[in-house]
Amino acid sequence: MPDKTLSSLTRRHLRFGWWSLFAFLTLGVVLEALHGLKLGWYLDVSNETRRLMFTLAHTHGTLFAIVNIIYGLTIRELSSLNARPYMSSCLIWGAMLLPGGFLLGGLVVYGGDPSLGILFVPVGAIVMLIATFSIAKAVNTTSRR
Amino acid sequence: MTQVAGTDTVATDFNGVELSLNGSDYTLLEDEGRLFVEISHTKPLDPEEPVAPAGRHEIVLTTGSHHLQFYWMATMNTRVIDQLPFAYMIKEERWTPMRATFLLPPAQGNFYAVGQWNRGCMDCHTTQGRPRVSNVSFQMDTQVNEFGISCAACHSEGTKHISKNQNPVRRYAHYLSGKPDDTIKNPKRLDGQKASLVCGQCHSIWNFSGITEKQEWNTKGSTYRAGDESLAQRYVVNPREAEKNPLVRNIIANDPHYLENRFWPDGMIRVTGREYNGVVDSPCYAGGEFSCLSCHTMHAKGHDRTEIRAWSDDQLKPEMRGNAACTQCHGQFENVAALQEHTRHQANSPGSSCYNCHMPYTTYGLLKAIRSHQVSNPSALESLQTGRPNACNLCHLDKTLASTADTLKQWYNQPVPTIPVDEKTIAASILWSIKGDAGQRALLAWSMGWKPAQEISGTEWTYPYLIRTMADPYEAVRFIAHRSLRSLSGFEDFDFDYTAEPSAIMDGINEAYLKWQSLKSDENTAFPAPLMLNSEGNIVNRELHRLLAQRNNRPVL
Ligand code: HEC
Ligand code: HEC
Ligand code: HEC
Ligand code: HEC
Ligand code: HEC
Ligand code: HEC
Ligand code: HEC
Repeated sequence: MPDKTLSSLTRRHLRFGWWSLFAFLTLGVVLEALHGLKLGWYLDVSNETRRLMFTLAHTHGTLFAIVNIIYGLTIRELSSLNARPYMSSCLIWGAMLLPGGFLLGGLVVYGGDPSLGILFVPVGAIVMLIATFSIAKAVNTTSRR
Repeated sequence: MTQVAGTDTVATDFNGVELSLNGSDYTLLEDEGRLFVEISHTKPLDPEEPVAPAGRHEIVLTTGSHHLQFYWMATMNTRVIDQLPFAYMIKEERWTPMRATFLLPPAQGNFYAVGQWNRGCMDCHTTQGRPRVSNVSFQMDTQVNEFGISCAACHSEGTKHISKNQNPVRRYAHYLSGKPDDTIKNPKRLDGQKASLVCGQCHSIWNFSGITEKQEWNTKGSTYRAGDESLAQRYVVNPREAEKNPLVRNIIANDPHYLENRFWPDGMIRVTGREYNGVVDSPCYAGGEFSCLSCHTMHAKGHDRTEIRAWSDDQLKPEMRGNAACTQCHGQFENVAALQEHTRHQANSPGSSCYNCHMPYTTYGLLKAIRSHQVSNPSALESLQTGRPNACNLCHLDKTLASTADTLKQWYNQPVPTIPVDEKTIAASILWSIKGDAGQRALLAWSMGWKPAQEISGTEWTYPYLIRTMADPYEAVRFIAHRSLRSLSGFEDFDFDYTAEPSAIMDGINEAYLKWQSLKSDENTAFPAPLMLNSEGNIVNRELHRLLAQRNNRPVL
């Protein structure tokens, strides 16, 4: 049985994950409300880019929040996992930069293109890839109990 | 625009419509989304008349989307297409012979020759059309880039624009600097002259500069691109150059009535769809900023269906339906006192609308009067010299030309020209409706149905004039007179087939006459003398016949 007290790392990811999940689910509700109120700023054909950016922010934010929760539980489950600090930082930064980039990108749109906030997206994506790849590798090398 | 014919592009229900014309019957059919016409002839064909052979023909293209829609049949000879000799009138929701949509002398028969669309209409009704008419056989391998008036027509070609802008760095450099993108043209960023020419490539009277240019157009299409200085293979016809320009002289040698069918004698354009000719001759144009885009926008701002509908009728910027169209540059008239001082009418009167005095309804086309697109000043002289109704008398239908001349003298110190007797004693509108050529008669029949004119000039006296205009030899004039009559009280539902046989037309006139007799009061009224009515409200016959004998019967095409 794993230890009942949570390591600070687990706690960090669970806390970040749940709060982040709360934030991005709230964003989801806001988007629903924009549909409900039929706001042109969100729904007009000419604002299709904004709609795409915000939906991508919502889905990725939600997904990455859950990934953080899972990582927190993974650390607790696999006590022998070689959880290095940079993995945690990447997972948390990735979960902020990528959806945040979509969100910022959609706030202002130029015709069919998002604003420069979109530049956070590729950075977030790279950070996220580093995190998932290194965690996958670490899980691979964990000794069987 | 031109569209591929299909159940979604025709303006009405097609299936089962039965039409007949000059002894031929036409049945329209739908078959799995394709449209056909079944033609049968009940009498031998006149070899002179371009009538399609009996049998089933596929309708392949349509032209028009605002007021009228025309239909074109495949001929089975290369891409040559032929007219269905009927048009659909969109607002009136009725079919009518194609020829009855034009201002044409009687008995013109079927209007367009086989292949006319390929030879001419597509030059303006498609984007980058190439007629590819063979000069050795009756074959046409016609091609277009797009059937509609598409982006490239007004913005130049997009190939380079698209490929260059696949690079995101380039895109963001433009967004952030706000710099124009030189791979495409935005008419809004062009000066007035070049911006107007973007529209003028189609909305003008133009002709080819020579036979080589025409041949090049035939194979390659237009080499003009939005933003260019001139129309390349073509030039815009200016009637004032008729003497010195050998090209214009040439046209007149081939068609002596070319100019008078398109322009007023002083060179002002009088047919619709050719607004560029008017705009470039406006005094404002010299300022360098005045263009079609001063008033029109090609992309509706609203998202709402009704907003877009409202825009699509005339495609004006919403705020440019009123005096702002002029005060955006002539700011001195924004001030109410200055406005009234200038117009001498109440500020909220239709007599204070810049458009009504400086761009009056003296252009004709599509079965209606349209605003002149040449900004000009109203004067009695223009009417005397050119026959063009002046703005004042188009609204003050009950006034004589002499009274307008006097007022213009009083208000604007315009010199009073020498005025003939009739113009002193008979309302100008009546003289134009009776003595005028078919174009003038059409404009006046329309004006008698124009609300602002009805309100200030009264309608009681116009009934007999409109009813008799419904017997005009020109079908289009009859149509307009009937439409105006229907705007008068008591005649809202009065039916009349303007394309019927002469005897049926006379029956319709008599019916209208009787109806009017039953509507008007029995009391004798003293109508003002210029209205040429006796105390029962009937037109004074002797005068009518005297004026009819002076009618300008020039064939108007
Ligand atoms: C010089 C360019 C030009 C040529 C050539 C031309 N048209 Fe047009 N046409 C126009 C323009 C511009 C308009 C719009 C006029 C308006 O709305 O007042 C128009 C309007 C029309 C309309 C009414 C469209 C609507 O939406 O209601 C029809 C139908 C039409 N044209 C048919 C033809 C046919 C048939 C031919 C060939 C015989 C032809 N046109 C040749 C420029 C042209
Ligand atoms: C009949 C001419 C015409 C056609 C066809 C046309 N445009 Fe335009 N376009 C204009 C004009 C004129 C302007 C300048 C702004 C205005 O009219 O409101 C413009 C402006 C624009 C702008 C810039 C918007 C701005 O506010 O400056 C874009 C983008 C554009 N057009 C795209 C298109 C696309 C894409 C198409 C084809 C689907 C198209 N246009 C078809 C005439 C046209
Ligand atoms: C490629 C030719 C072409 C060009 C370029 C073009 N037009 Fe037109 N325009 C037409 C035709 C043809 C029609 C008739 C409508 C139809 O066929 O459906 C038309 C219709 C219109 C109408 C609608 C008339 C109505 O009855 O409501 C307006 C207004 C107009 N054009 C203005 C412009 C302006 C302003 C420009 C320049 C920015 C322009 N057009 C450029 C060919 C052209
Ligand atoms: C884009 C700007 C612009 C718009 C819009 C405009 N004008 Fe003008 N207008 C000018 C300029 C510039 C002149 C030339 C002034 C000069 O010669 O001193 C001019 C000249 C005139 C003149 C002749 C002045 C004279 O002294 O003989 C009249 C009349 C006129 N405009 C009326 C109008 C009317 C009516 C409208 C609206 C239908 C209008 N203008 C719209 C810019 C404009
Ligand atoms: C000063 C303002 C102004 C300018 C400049 C102007 N227009 Fe217009 N235009 C109007 C108005 C107002 C109408 C509506 C006229 C009417 O009710 O008959 C109109 C109507 C039209 C129509 C529709 C005619 C119809 O069938 O009802 C066409 C086509 C058109 N304009 C083309 C042009 C073109 C092309 C140019 C430039 C060469 C141009 N206009 C410049 C004000 C303007
Ligand atoms: C009741 C008819 C009428 C109305 C409405 C009208 N004008 Fe005029 N306008 C005239 C006449 C007539 C003249 C010519 C005066 C002359 O012969 O010297 C004229 C001349 C002009 C001139 C050139 C001379 C000058 O006084 O500067 C301009 C510019 C002008 N008008 C602009 C406008 C504008 C802008 C509007 C709308 C705000 C407008 N007009 C409304 C009748 C009218
Ligand atoms: C579009 C309609 C319209 C146009 C164009 C127009 N007027 Fe008027 N006119 C009116 C109206 C409406 C009145 C009633 C008073 C008012 O509204 O100020 C009026 C009143 C008058 C009067 C006062 C006498 C009377 O009949 O009661 C005179 C004179 C007059 N106009 C002359 C002219 C002259 C001259 C022109 C051309 C420069 C002209 N109008 C252009 C609509 C028009």
